[in-house]
Amino acid sequence: MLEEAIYSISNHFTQLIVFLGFVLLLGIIIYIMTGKFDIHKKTSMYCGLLTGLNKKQILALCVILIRTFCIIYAVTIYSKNIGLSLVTIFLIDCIFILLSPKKILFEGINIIAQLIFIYLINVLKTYTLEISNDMHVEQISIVLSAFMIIYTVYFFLKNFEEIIRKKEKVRKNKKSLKKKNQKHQNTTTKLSKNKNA
Amino acid sequence: MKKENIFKILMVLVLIALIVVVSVYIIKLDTEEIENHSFYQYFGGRKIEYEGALNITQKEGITQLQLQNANIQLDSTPVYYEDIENQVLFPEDMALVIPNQNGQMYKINRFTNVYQKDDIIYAEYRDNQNELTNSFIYDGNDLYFFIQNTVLTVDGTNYEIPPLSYVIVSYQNSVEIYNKQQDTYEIIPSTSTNVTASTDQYSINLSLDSMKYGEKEQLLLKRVDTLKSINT
Repeated sequence: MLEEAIYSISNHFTQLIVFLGFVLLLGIIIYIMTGKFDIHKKTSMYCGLLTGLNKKQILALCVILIRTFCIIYAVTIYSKNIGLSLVTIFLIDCIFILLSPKKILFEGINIIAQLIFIYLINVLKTYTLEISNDMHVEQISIVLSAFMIIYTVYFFLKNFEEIIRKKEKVRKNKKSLKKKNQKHQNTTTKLSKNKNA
Repeated sequence: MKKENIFKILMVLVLIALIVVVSVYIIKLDTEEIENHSFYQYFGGRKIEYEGALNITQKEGITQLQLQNANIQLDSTPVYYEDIENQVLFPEDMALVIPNQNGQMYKINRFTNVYQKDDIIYAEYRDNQNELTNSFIYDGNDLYFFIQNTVLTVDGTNYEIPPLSYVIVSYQNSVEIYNKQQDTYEIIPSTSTNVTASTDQYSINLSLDSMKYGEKEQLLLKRVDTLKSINT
């Protein structure tokens, strides 16, 4: 069992290397964009997006990034043993559900649908490579892959927006709490002044 | 419900709809529908004829022939067209062995039609057509399908095997010969380990599943599914 698992992981070694390269590249780009903070430049917007996140939000951000990468990789690069990729995507999505448990039903259906779709694309690619180089089947698999990429990117941006909005909600809640506390303090000081008078 | 949530739900519904459509399409890829022909096969020396529209499906490694009244499980025995001369359908994956190309073997997909046109044998699968010359077809077990005139030798006796005929050799048990030209089926009991089929370019030991061409000798691959398809 362990040997099979190690063998499966070794088959996906390229994916790990590509992912490391992708993360490194992303890190360099973000560093270049946000390294020198200038309020007059558009890059200050990116700084604003990424600052003030709590640990849960950072983890959620990482999870959706890894998930998007894994799905796009699984759909674009053919692998005969798609099992490990599907298990990885499933586990990553489970972590995402744990971070936002309110949406468990919607996310659960979404995950299962995505996994089945990726598997079907793989079946079509296997057909073109091993059985018959049918042009129709190849065209259909390309169209479905493109749809899956757009679908994944859409949900990445949607989840990213939700994570950032939570940060804004937390900030707004903190601000309104502060205002309430101040008002309360002001009324208590007025009352005490009136009493003294 | 917010507009953005509605759009999200719509996207998921579209994905689910696509899953259903693609699943149906994939199931159809594993199905071959042949309408309004007459077919026949030989099983153990007995000719079985089929009429009308046929539906052949492959599910979980089992190929089934669906007739009006019954489902028949098919093996690698070729299905011959009664109403089309010199045409045969393979219900299972087969290996095309080309001795002249260093004994190269390719996979002929299930549901491939092999037919003779102007003395040339072709293998056709969906839109792919391949000309077959100086080769033979093997099912990975005991069945050998010949596309050219071959001489079969069993216990010192020679049998002429014309194109589109096949031979089944059960090791040290029997040799079954279907002659397409004469439409005859013969079962020869034989304990020989040296049943051979030969042309002027190569010879095959059907008992040991090996082939000899020129000075080279090789065993035939049994795992037909691992071969590269002739259509790719």
